[in-house]
Amino acid sequence: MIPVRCFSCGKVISSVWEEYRERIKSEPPGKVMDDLGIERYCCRRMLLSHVEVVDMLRRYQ
Amino acid sequence: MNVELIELRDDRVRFLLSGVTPAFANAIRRSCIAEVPKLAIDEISIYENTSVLFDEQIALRLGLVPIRADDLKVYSTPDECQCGGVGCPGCRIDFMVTAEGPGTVYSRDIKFSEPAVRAAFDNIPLVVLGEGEKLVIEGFATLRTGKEHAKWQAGTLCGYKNLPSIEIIGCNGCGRCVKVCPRGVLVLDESDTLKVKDITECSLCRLCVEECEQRAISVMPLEDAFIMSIESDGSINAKDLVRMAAEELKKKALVLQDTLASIS
Repeated sequence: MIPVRCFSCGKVISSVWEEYRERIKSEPPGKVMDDLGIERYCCRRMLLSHVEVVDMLRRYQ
Repeated sequence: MNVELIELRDDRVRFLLSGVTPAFANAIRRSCIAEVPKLAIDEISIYENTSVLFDEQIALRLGLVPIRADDLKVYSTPDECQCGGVGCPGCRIDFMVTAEGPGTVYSRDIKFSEPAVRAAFDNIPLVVLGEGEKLVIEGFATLRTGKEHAKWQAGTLCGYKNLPSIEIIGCNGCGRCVKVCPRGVLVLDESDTLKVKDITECSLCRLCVEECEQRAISVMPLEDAFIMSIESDGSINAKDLVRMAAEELKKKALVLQDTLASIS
């Protein structure tokens, strides 16, 4: 699961996660983040580097 | 003291505070971070959780969800409550989360007992539930300050810097400083005169000073003017956050005054 907030600054970033995940299929991630108001690099790395492991784990539940 | 607004959004405010000491500017900043009370989910009971996340993980995620109330003055912190911290409607706002998979549980699924209280963001994913997985959680939110835990911290990114002042004397209009400035503070106009576009953007890096062979530029911080940049986590509007921070400071100053008066 995407962390609720940015580890460094505490901005809520998870609220844009689902839109981000959909939009990066057709747009460059940097542009999407600019659009969604994710400005600082601490918040940007949260979205950019996130791997949704839950989807993989769920199969073995 | 003089206040001049630079930028105002729901979640962020930037303003120029001048004619104050650094200590005062810092007091406002610290007050925004640690002294302004806000609501956050405090204790939960998990009756059923068959999702892939551990109970503790869900508890942490719930705690970090910013919670908004129409009027925070209605509630009091458990320490100051009439009930003495035992727990009453004045200091506890109950909530329930019940969900069954498949599907994602979002922050909007947190149902509070009071209609004036809700999650600040609707679409924070809390947990993904698979086929037949269940989640039943009950708990309450309390009003506390950032001093106790970061989840009660209303101001996330609060900072200030000295207002820079750029002086240009004897410039020949070569434009090298314009190219070297990472923030685009300096511009050359049509007649090749060097101008400052937006002084608040300057980070005082002094690259322009080093680049200038004429030694025409000097960049200095003004000692008594500050650009305050206050960002809220969404539970309180940034404007209200600064106002409440000032009120908290005032309360503290009054306590100090009373204590000093009782001693003398």
